Amino acid sequence: MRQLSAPELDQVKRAIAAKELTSAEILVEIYDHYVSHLESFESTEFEAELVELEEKFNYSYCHALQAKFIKETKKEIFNLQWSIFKTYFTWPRFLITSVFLVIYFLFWMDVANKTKVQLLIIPIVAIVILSAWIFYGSFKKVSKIKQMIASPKVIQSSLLASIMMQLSLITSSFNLMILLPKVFDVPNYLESPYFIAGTLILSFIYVSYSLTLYEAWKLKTKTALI
Amino acid sequence: MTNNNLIKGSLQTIILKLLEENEKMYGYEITQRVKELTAGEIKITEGALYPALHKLEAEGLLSTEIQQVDNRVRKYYSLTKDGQKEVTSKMSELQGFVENLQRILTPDLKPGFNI
Repeated sequence: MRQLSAPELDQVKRAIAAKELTSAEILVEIYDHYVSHLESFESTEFEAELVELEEKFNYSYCHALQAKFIKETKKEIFNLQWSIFKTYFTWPRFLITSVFLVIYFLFWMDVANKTKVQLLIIPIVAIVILSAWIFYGSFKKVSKIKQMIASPKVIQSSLLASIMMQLSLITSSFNLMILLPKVFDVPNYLESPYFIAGTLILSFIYVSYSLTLYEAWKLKTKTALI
Repeated sequence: MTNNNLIKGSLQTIILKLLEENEKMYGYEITQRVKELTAGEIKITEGALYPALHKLEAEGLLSTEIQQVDNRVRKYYSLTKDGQKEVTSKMSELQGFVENLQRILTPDLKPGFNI
């Protein structure tokens, strides 16, 4: 086992950057695999071993690996949030959830219809602030990787990409809720029971989402690039 | 060298078993450990290893940890609580399969045969 020289490391970095990968997790894993493998060979064998690695980790393999990883990451973050959500309905957390739901429902019943819609903005703002904070934290963690591998593509954590996609779904659903009745010229839509029920369901989804995202991030931030 | 098709079906079990014995491992280390344990007879290809690791991670059987090692970042894998439970079930599943395979390959073997 030896340490690679600076020119050798540069060669490895250039080879990996040429793959134009965007997932920080995949880049980290491939770079570590390359260096760990090459360190176990003498410098005379470096070129041959690098060529062999390049054949194994070719462009299409790396992109297929990245695509699969991004898909698995979406599943992972969703599964994690779902498992956290389920804990809200198990003892003893169920008590807090019940009290919160009762208080929120009583308050929600008491306010005007327009306020019911405006209340949706509170969890959305919370989600946006939390997502921005996660983005900042991840940006700081990934910046070291960006400096190390000067890829021509924008490098970011795949977990962050999944969270940002979820954020866009949240804001889009709110826009859709507001715009749809206007597009279809629904008269007095603020008084429609369907619209009111929609705001209640959305507020439940948004609050649950913001809480589960926070808990999932707290768990993942210790070990992942977010 | 063992046929890759034979390894594919048991790759997840191999990974889980290795991680049960070693607290945490990184991708390259897993390939080398398998090579070492089988005297080079079984070589886990990178093409199969990393997708399997990512799948196990997404299923919540593995957790990952990013660590700084020699001026580079390394991703370590370790078993979660669910992963620890899964090792036992996967191992008995694989052992049962090997026993049955052995019975097919050696029909004269007594039914009570255990590996």
